[in-house]
Amino acid sequence: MSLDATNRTDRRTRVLVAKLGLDGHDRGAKVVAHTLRDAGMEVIYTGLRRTARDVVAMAVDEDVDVIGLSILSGAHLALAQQVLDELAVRGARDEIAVVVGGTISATDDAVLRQMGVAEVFGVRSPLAELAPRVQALVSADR
Amino acid sequence: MTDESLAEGMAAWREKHAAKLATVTERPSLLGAPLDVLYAPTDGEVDAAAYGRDIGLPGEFPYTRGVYPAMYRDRLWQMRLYSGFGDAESTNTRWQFLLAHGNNGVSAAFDLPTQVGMDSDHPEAVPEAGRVGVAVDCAQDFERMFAGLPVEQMGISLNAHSTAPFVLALFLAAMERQGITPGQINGSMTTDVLKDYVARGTWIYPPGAGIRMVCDILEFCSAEMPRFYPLVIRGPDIRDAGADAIQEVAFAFANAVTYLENAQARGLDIDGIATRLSAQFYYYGDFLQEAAKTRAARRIWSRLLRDRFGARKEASWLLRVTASVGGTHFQVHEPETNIVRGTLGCLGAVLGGVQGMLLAGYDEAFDIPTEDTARIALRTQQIVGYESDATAVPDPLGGSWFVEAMTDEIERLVLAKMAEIDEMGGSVVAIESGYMQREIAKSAYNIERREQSGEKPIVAVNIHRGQGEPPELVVHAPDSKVADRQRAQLAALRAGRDEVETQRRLARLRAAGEGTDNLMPIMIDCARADATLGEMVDVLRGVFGEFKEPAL
Repeated sequence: MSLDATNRTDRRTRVLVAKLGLDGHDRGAKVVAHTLRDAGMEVIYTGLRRTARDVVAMAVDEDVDVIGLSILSGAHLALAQQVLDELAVRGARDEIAVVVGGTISATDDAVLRQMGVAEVFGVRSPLAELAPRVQALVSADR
Repeated sequence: MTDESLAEGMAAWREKHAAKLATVTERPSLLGAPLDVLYAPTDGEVDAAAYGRDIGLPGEFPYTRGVYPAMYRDRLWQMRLYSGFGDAESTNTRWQFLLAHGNNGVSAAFDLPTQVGMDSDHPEAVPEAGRVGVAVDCAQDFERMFAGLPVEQMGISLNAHSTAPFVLALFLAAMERQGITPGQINGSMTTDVLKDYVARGTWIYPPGAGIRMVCDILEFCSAEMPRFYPLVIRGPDIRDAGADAIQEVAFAFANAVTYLENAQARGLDIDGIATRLSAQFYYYGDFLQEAAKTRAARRIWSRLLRDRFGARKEASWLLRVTASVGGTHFQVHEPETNIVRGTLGCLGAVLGGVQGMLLAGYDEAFDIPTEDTARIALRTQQIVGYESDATAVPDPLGGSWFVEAMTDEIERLVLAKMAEIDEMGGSVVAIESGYMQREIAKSAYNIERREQSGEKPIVAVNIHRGQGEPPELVVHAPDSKVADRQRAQLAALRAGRDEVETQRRLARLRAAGEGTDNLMPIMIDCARADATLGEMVDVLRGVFGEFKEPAL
């Protein structure tokens, strides 16, 4: 393990909870942010109506480990792809894991994972599992 | 029975059954506090003066028992389904279907670009065009959407939110081309912009500009559209964002107070505008308490309008309510069970005495409804309306000790919260400081924890879970060609219109935005010259700026 990696493991996991696109429903995003904070993570919430470019720029600036996208409008495939592409453009595809939460069918769950989304949280995902599953992504990364 | 013997009797009953009462399952109320096991007339014999003051008769102040004397024996509520998707043609087809099955109105769902004021060819609009509602860019879209429909005979509700003034302008310009005047339109509009900052997130301008445009609409519609209710004070967005029932009513009414104060400050007569307002609330499964909430809301409203705003006409005191049923009350697991949840919500609304209802398809948690789920949603309302005796007499729950106690308690808590917001300086301060948003986020987190822990039972979700995975629903497939078609239409529109004239009218809108003139007639003029929704919204964005979310 390199020194650099050791330093990263020591710090608290940083998560950017993001609302992408025009959908204004942020109840889930706020509950998720609250839950991850309670689990000891550092959580930044973007606020509403961000573009993929805004979100990735914020993620890189804030040096987060994970971007959590909350999408309830049904546009999750297009919007998640935009974020993955933007991460690739910024060369941060390997450093930052992308997870998606929202009203997502089993079919789209599989498609998202194939695209490179690390975790998908459907409606009623147990809150207790949220932080461990996010943490597992960060630990697996290191 | 005397007061004393009643109180003694209750105390003795509690003592006799103390062991049993100590072990009952706790039932959290809509108010957050646990429900008592029994409600009884602890105030003793019915006090005729208190009855007259707080309950009264249907159609009479304070309207606790309903806004009309005979209620549903006279006529049932307006049954609508929040509906619209794809483009004008696909929405028109669905509406024809719903009207043919006995819907007596339509409730237009607009896509997100329309709700935030972007034309369909805006780069950020493309993935959302026609997805959660119908795509609208110009007056022509409304001409096609309403083609062949009995516009003058039906109720039309336009759910455009922040962009309501622009959408109304495009709609009226389209109707004018078909020879229909504003005065012939019967319906309502969700113009309440403050709730967008509180909960819905589809804001554009800062609150000051939003309130000004709401007052413009109020003024315009009071003069020109006597059959149209342009300001539906909205609780549903607040409730579904995670608020409890008290916050739902209190925040919605605090927003209403702001509109009414601003309208009065502008010199509008309260009796001229009060009848243009109505309210909308959510109805979840605790249907007795939801009914009590509606009774309490009407009582609060009548006193607010008479005593605080000085309305003198009876018509100004009564609050018409539209119910929303569905939303977060509906579950993803075993979705067909939502038909029963919808029935409970519907019952709460009917027992509460509402004037209109939007009941969601049971697949709402997944997508916009299919023809089948839309039909079942309508049938649910019709069965409660025609086959049950919930509609047999006005306010059938009146006099229930439980419901009267809840009505009083809800009233007390809502008034306390409204007073808290007044002390803060009103709803705009409560929004700009993030107070309302924080309160709702806190409540949402608590609700989620209670539901996940099983403290709030949800059948097939946290208790009595079925075996295996939930079935994949058949969902309506979004039409990915909508954005392309809208883009082509916009290109043709811009090429075909008198560009100089359109720009001249948009410049006038900008100038009016900088001044104090009513913007509605000028927007309609822009719509007549084929200005698009996005163009009008952008012109005023240059004047008003944009809302900045408070950090939470």
